[in-house]
Amino acid sequence: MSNIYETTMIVKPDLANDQLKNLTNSIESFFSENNLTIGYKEDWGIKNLKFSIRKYSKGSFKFIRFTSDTTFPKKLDNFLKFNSDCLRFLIIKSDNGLEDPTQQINKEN
Amino acid sequence: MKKNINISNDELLKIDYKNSQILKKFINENGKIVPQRVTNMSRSLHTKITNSIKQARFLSLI
Repeated sequence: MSNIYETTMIVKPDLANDQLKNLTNSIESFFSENNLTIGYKEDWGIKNLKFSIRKYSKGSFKFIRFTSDTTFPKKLDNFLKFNSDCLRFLIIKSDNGLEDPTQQINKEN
Repeated sequence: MKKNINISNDELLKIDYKNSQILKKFINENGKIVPQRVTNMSRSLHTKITNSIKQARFLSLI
């Protein structure tokens, strides 16, 4: 049985371009290892955090939506937990369609 | 005291942790969740609101 899931990640704001590419490549390769593709992607940009996380007061937000079976989100949770560039993440089942835009893109800060 | 919240039916359908502007209507100035007896929302809507406020707090969007 397949569902639509969505994840938002807070990534370190001071990453260099190469490190960001490495991170996105590793996530994409992890999806392709499990025979899945990323359905929808968004970049919310760098925002001020309301409280500091691991001594960072800013964070860059990434958003991903995908369809998968019920076992894959646990694997993704384990993968992101041991990633040192990812400060915090949330994986939940989505109520929206696969390619609906969110309200956060056009917002500043 | 009942509180009058200006919110349309369209906005009530869009309640989500990403929609932080709508969620801010259900929070007082200290950041606490306004109780159900004040806002006059139904039980099912109020649980949806509280769950999405807690998810938005975790990601530090509120």
